[in-house]
Amino acid sequence: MSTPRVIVYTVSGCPFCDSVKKLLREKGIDFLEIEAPPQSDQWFEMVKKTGSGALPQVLVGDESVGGYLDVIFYEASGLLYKKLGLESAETPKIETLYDVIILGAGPAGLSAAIYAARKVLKTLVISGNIGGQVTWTYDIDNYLGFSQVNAQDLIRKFREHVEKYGVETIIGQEVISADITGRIKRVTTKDGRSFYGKTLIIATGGQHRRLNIPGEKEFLGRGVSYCSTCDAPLFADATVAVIGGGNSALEAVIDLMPIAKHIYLVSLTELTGDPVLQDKVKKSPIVDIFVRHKPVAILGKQEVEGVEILSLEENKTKTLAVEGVFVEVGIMPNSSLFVDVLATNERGEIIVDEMCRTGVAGVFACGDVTSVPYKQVVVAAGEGAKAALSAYSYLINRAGKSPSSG
Amino acid sequence: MSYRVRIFSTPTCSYCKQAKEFLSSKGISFEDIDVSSNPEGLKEMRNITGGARTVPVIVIDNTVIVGYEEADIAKTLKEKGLIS
Repeated sequence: MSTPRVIVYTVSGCPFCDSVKKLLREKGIDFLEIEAPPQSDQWFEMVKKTGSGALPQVLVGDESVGGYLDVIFYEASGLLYKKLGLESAETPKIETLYDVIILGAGPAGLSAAIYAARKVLKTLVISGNIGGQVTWTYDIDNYLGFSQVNAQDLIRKFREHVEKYGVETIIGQEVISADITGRIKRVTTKDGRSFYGKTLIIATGGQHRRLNIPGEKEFLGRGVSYCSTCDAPLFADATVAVIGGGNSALEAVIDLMPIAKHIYLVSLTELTGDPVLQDKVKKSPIVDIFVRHKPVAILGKQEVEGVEILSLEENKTKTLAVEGVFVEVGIMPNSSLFVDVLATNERGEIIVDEMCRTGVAGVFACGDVTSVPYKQVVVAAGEGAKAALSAYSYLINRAGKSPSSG
Repeated sequence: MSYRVRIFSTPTCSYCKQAKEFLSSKGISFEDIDVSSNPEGLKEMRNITGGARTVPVIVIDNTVIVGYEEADIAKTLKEKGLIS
């Protein structure tokens, strides 16, 4: 085999260097890697050839191709093989370039999809599921136009609405990485496929906050549950614990009251949920409340047999014998792919302005993953519409500028 | 008639409903066992899953799937020749 003509200058501990190497390997492109720590001879050689001291740098022979984001841009526009002087090697595959890629298919993502499609933007939705957190509830009573609607029926209506516009969807796939700082946004799913968009709308929503204590993961589905609406009926005549002090914890207790034999409510703080719900719970003869107590471990062999809790006042632990532990300690934003690049608040929510902009050009966010208060279906749907209209306006304003101006 | 596909569910569980709609959309007929009103069904569900206390549980011939994992369900249906 001849020496590869493609040269990549790298330095260890540089994420973009790893990304560019991975991408070239995925594409079956041989390359020679040269380590070039700043101020080394190799680095000076690289600066001389490319005019840039930033790492990585990709070259073909002596000709500079650029950094990782340039490589992505060429890949997305179908020019990569040509740029790397490999045109004859294999037929280059021209990747589809979407106007907008939407991550998430809850109310925010699907509303964004409809607005984008109506602006005739080439739109792709990627999501693990359809409906997002709406799937956790049974009925919704506060969505405009529906005095009461079954959550599943509402999701079906959302889906039908989106399908009517012929939006492309990839459902059931997890996004494992996203490069969002360049002019072309690149999203990679778990099955190894990459998708390219001129804009990205992050509508990844939230997930149940975990306790992160021993036993929680091991006993998931074997006594540990995050969905009292779903699983409460499986605990007939059982003694159970509910963890949390807010509305969802109190509602879980109320779901369980007609079913379970005995319920322990364990809260880190004083109860914070609505007084109406607190009253209901406090009046029940089968509910014992432990405030200022912290769960430290979920115990059992095959299934949950108990939960160990620590009194914050006395610094003493005790074990409650339970068959079930319902965890209702709030929602965590699904922002982990973006926290390194985008500004987030102390809860990890992506900070957006009134036009759903994130601070990175062409990247928008909406719904429960953002810092926008009030996590409601109607709010998420409205924010999704705004994000799509903002993306549209961004695309219009950028139209006519040359690819290299980004 | 015994069904090749069975689902253990509760009436208030959105994921169960989603799973059932998915099966119907593929033209699969299935037995729906509401474990909230059927203690025998609950016992059976816990037996075949080794103690699961969550719904839905979907059984396709002798393959047991805990939770609504559309990809797993589709894959199993394909393997069993129930869909092409």
